[in-house]
Formats: sequence, C-alpha cells, structure tokens
Amino acid sequence: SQLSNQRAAMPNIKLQSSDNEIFEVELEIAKQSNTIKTMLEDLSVSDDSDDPVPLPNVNAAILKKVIAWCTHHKDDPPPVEEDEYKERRTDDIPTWDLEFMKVDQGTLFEIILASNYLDIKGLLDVACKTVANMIKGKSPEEIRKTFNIKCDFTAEELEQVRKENEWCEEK
Amino acid sequence: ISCNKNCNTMLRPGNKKKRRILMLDQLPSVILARVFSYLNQQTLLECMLVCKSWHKLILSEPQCWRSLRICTSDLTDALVGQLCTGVCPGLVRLEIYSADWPEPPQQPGLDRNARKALVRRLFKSSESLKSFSLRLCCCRHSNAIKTSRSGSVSGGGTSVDWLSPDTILSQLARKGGRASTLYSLTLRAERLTDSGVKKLTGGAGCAQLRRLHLTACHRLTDSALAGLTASAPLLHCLHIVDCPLISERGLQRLSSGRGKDGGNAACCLRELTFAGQHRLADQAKAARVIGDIGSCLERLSLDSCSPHCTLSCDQSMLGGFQCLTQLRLTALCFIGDPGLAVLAKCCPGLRILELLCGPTNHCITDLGAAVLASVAVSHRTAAAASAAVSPPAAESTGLQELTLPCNLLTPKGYHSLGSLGPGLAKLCLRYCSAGADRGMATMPLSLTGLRHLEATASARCGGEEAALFAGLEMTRLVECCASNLRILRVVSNCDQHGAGGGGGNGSVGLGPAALAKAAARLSLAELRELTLCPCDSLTETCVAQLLRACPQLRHVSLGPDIKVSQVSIRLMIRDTNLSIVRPLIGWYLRSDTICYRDLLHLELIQAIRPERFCFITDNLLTFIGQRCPSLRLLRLEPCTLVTDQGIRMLAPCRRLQRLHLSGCEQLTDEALRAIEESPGSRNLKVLVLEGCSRIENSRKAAERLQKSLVRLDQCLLRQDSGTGDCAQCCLL
Repeated sequence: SQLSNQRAAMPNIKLQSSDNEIFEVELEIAKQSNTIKTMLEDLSVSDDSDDPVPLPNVNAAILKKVIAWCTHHKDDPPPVEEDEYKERRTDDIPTWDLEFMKVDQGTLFEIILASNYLDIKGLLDVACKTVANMIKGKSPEEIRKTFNIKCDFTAEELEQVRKENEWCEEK
Repeated sequence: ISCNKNCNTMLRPGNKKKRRILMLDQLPSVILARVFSYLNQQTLLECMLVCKSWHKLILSEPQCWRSLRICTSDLTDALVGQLCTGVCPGLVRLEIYSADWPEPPQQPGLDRNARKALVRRLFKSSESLKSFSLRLCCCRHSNAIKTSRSGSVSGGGTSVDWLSPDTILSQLARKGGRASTLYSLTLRAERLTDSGVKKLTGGAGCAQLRRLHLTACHRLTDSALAGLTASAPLLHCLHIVDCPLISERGLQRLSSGRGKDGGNAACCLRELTFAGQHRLADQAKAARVIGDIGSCLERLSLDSCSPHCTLSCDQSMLGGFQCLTQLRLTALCFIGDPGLAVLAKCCPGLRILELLCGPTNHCITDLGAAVLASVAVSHRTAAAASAAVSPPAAESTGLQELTLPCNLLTPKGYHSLGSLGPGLAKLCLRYCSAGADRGMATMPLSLTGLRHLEATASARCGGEEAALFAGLEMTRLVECCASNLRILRVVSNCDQHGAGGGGGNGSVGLGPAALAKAAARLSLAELRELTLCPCDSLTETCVAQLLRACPQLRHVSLGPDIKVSQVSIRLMIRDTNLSIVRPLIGWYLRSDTICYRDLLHLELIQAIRPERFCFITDNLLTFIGQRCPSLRLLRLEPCTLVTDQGIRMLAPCRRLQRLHLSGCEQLTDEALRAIEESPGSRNLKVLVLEGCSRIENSRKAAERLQKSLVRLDQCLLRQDSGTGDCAQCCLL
C-alpha cells in the first residue's frame, strides 16, 4: 500500500543509464522490468527520494529504445502462461514490434542484453524471435555472412558433422 | 563504449564513429540457447554447421532443444547416449516415427531388447517431456517393398517393424517413463492394440493428459478409448480420426464415465474431432451421444466416411452446445436451415462455422443466410449498447469465420451475407452459381474486416450454361476489405478459351483476370496467398505488377491450377496457355525476393500437350540445383529436352529423396553415372526415369544403382514412356 500511495503521489521515477543520462519514466512503465521492480521493493524508495535508479549495464541509446518499447506495451495484459508443450512460434510478432526491431544488429543484440539484464520477458522474447527469424531459412554460409561469423571448420570436419547429423534430417 | 564489461566487443572496420559493435557470437550462451530454442530441428542442423562453438553449444545445451523428431532407423546406442546428455533434458516435445521406407539393410541390427532399452533411455532422460507423439507407418508400404525387392531381402517384413507400438508405450508407462506427466499424446500406429493402451492406463494413468490424438489406430476398440479417457481426468481435447473400430459407444462411455466419477462435471471435453468412422451402429444414438458430451464443448468437428451413416445435426444434437465456438461439419453430416436456426439460438458464442460437404447435404437457402445475418445484427446492437455503458466492449462477438455452400442462395441470400458486418474475418462461398454474380453486384459492403475471401464455383455440368459462376463482381468485395485481405481465392467456371483465344474481349473469362488487375491496382499490402482461376489471359507484365503490388505474397496460383509457394511448387498443367506458365516458373526461380531454400517438393505434371513443356531444360535443372537445396521430391513430366548435363546440375540437391523424370529420351548411361556419383544421391530412395530408350541395359543399370546407392528402395527405369503399361518396365 505504501507503494501505491507513492505511485499516486509520484507516478514517475528516474532511471540513470551507464553513461549517466537520466530518464524520467512512469513508474508503471518502468515496472515492466522485473529487475527495476525488485530494486524498488528492496530499496523501498521513500516518497521524497528523487535519486535515480542506476542501471550500469544499459547505455542511454538502448535505454531509450527499451523505454519506448515498454511505453507502447504498458497496457498489454499480463503474459499468460504459454501452453508449454506447444511448438514455439516466431511468426507472431506484432507489426509495431516488427518495426521496432528494424535496427542494426549491434543495437538488436544490445537490446537483448538489456532486456535480459532488466528482466523484461516480453521484449526479450520478441528480440530473440527476431534473431531466430534472421537465422531461419538460411544456409550455414548465409548465416555466417549475416552475422559475420568465421567458419572454423575444415572441409573434412564439415563433412564429418554433416554425416554425424544425418539422424537429424527429416525422413 | 556501448556494451557491458562481460562481453568482449570488437571494432568493426569502416565504422566512422568507431563505436564498438556487439556481435551475435558474443552474446552469453544462455541467450544464444534461448534464440536457438525458437528454431526447429532442421534449422538447428544448419546452425551446427556454422562454427565450432555453435556446434558445441547446440549439442551440449539442452535449452536449445524443445522438440525432437527422431526416426526409428536412426536410433543407435551412440546417438541415444549423446541425446540423453545434451538434448533430452530440455525436451518438451518428442516424436518417434518410422520412415515410409524400411531402414537400409546394412544398418547394424539391434535386437528387440536393445531397442527397448534405447527407447527407455530416451524417455528417462527427457525429464520435462510434456508431449509425446508416435507415428509408425508399417503396413502401408510393406507390400510394395516386398514386390519391388522381389525376395532379395528376405527379412523385409521384420525390418519394417522396428519395435511394436505396444512395446514403446509400455516403456512410456514404466516407472521413469513419462506417461503420468504428459500433457499431450499423439498416436498414429496401425498395429497399436488395446493391450498396449491398457499399460498406459495402469498405475498413475495419464493424470496430466490434456490432449489425445488417435489417428489410424486400426485395431483400437471402444474399450481402450474408454479406459484411456477414464484414466485422464483432465482430458479436454480428443481427436479420433480414421479409427474404424471406435464408434459412438466409446464416446458414450466417455460421457457416462465422467458423470459417475466427477459428479456435476459431467464431461469437461472442450474439443472433439470424430472423423473417418465407418461404423456408427446407430446414427440417431450417435447424434444423441455427441449431444450429451456437448455441454462444455467449444470445438466440434464431425466427419464420416461411410455412405451408410448420415448424422443429422438438429435440435436434439446441437441443442445442448451452449459453449460452442467452432463447428465443422464435413462429408455426410446433414444440416439445413432449421439446424442453423438451432445453432443461432443455442450457441451464442459461435465464432467459426464450416459446412464443408457437398452441396446436397447442406441445404442452406436464403432463410439460413437471413438467420445468420439477424444474429450478426443483434450482436452488433448489443455491442453498441454495451459500448455506450462501458467503453471497452468485447469486439469479438458474432461469427468470425463462415464457410457455406451457396448453390441454393439467390441475390437475397447474398444480401444477408453482405450484412454480416466487419467482424467477419473469413468468408468462403462454395458451389457458387450464377446467382453469386448477381448477388455480389448488390451485396451491402459491410464486410470490411475480411482477411480471407474465397468463392469457388460448383463443378461444371455440361449444358447448364445458365448456372455458371463468373466471378465478375468479386472486385467490389475485394475493394471494401483491401487493407486486411490475406488470402484471396476465386475459382470461377467461366470459359477460359473464350478469352484466351482472342475471341473478342467480352466479359467472359475476365472475372479472375480482371480481379488480378484490380489487385495490382489496389496494392493489397497484407495479401499472402492468391488463387485466381482461370487466369490464362494474364500477361507476364501484369503478373510482375501484381507481385510488386502485393509485397507479402508467398503463394500464388494463377490459371488452371498453377501454384507457386514457398514450400511446395506443384504445377498441374492440364491444357493451358504456356505464356503464363513459363514466365511464372522462370520468374520465380530467378527471383531473389522469394526464398527457395525451403522448397521441399517440386512437381510439374499432368500434361496433355507435351510440346508445351519446352521450358523444362537443363537450364531449369541448373536453377533448381542452385536455388532449391532443401528439395526432397522432384518430379518433371515430361522432360524430353533434359540431357545428361542437366542431371549433373542437380548434384547440389543433397536431400533429394524422390526423383521422377518422365519422357527423358535424351538420357544415356552417362546420366545414370552422374546420379551414382553425385553426393546428392546418397539420400535417394525412389528413382523413376521413364522413356529412357537410349539406356542400353536398363535392368543391369538399375541393379548397379541399387548397389551403389544404399538408400535406394525403388528404381524404375522404363524404356517406354507409357504410364499404364508395365510390360517393359524393369522392377527391382
């Protein structure tokens, strides 16, 4: 109840990025991050405290993106427990998120790291799905090209792995 | 510096700002594993070939694997050992299946006990398994194999039976097996018997089971089904397809058994599919039994194959279905206007209605359409009323998907359909007649929410020119829902030759073609699938325009049955104007915009005029070799112009399992050598070359191929290109 009082009185909190930029965000939006939520509860931030919450693992550019995502998704219903035994899909990314994820790879991976650190499940899922979609339908060579990965297999080793993997192929 | 200290960053040359850019392989392995968990087995396989660290991660981090499909012929001691440590602990879904063809004879033979032990280990290490699927095809091909191998392999029959389904289920039911924690169980096994299922129901039973699919379990009886459902108190989804010994009695026990045990929870089944039954003892009773189960039922799909049973869907059956949201009636289930009225009255939550059988079994007239429309209107007024009270009104009331036979509808009926409102997302009009054209011309345009629009004509009966559906007025409908439309299918029976032959550009034949032009103009941004038929008069330019205007398009089918899709190209060309076929196939295979990596099947068949297939040349095979690495099946008929060189070009298709080339009169022994030497042939199971008259001794050649290609089960080298006459064909 203390928290809800605090919310009514002070709906915004401040977040400080690794490069010391301060962002003021609605509390409800920031609390989509379980990390921030736990921090607030543990620190039991007092009403008049104006100290920003330090986020040493996220820089300003990425924090801005994360906040934008959380703002757009603030009214989302709480995530339903997915039918765990069903196949995971990657073709169900909402249009807004698809647009949101149209960033360079470096940014995308940093969003992944940030959402992992901040523990925002929805964002982490969408970002991982985006990367999965970048892998799908590509040959190993194309995957290497896409992600700038060096092939450290020799030709013989590759053939060997192919042979070992025959069980994996659809019959 | 943009990244935390834990991950190494590196400089990418050419970046002016000299910002450090994070790379995929620098992500922590837990996150990479999370990404991999979204990939299927086939893609994981590709990923293992990317670099050593990925290879290691995928084989050692169980989180990468949520589902595993494995073929019985691959289960060896070494592999299972590897799976049990690196793959199984994370598995949620496991499928064991047998290949259509028996394992190669040189596969090291495991005795029955060793096989049992392997299956046991698989189950035991899959600690979090929630879904198990067993798919054994045993009988279907055994006869064919016996004749095709003509006694050369004596044990052909036994190798088909890797392990009986009963034995596999008994391992699942053992202590340390997973029967009691499974959420979903799928069984497709002809030889599965009641005693195998009884093992499952003993002990803790299937306490967690929610979903049960039984397909083609030919020996399973009512009592097995009753036992299984009794041991699974949480079961809410039951699919029974093509299990001939299961009748309405099995279902009856389901409802009464539940009544005794669960008190007021008479039956909590929410989803029921009951299809392909041959022996409903008593149709009236069957309808009643299904009606009894229905109190919680949300989805119901009924289908019967026997001409002797017609389920009548009327008040007695549908009356109790208060929760129904989805109803699908096919084949010989009968429903008419009165049935629709019952549905409208008793099932306020109905969202999806599919009436899929022939026009004679569903007698839906204007009356029925009016009933549906009035329900939609009442839903809308109710929604409007509640919106006035509380703003966030539930938008999803009323019908969302409707499939119905339209042969009896007049323009009045179409008028009713047209007022179903923007809530309707899918509308499939089947057996359209000329009335559809008149109806659509005056239909109110309230269907702005359509994502799937389909109108197909009834089969053409000679002489009945008046009853033809031309699809002339579809453009009106498409225009009103252009921004939402994802799937558009129009099959009219207007005369293609009238338009294609240049007999004046009258309205005949322009229906679908005009629609294609309209689609190009409307820029259907969301359209994924387009089927317009007949559409022969379309030019290549127009097709190109259309494809540009619809950027999401993935599956195109123009003209009589010309289809191009991401996973399967199947061109069935009967007697069509080649001008459309050739650019399409060439356009697609050359195009970079569409990914052919996933193409599994490519078939070009059923030609009446072979000279029209002059585009199947070595060039095409070169394209296929370069662009379609995943191809499993290639069937080109007739490919009279293909030479030995073309066959060589198929070498990159390493997964090719079936190769059918007919009329390949140019091929010589050189082509067979190419097939033999190609690394792509090692997976080849079926090879059919027809009309290869230049091959000297085809019997010997077939024998040689069979020897060198270990998986080859069927090798057919016909000297003639006849299809029915097998006198000269060489069967091994």
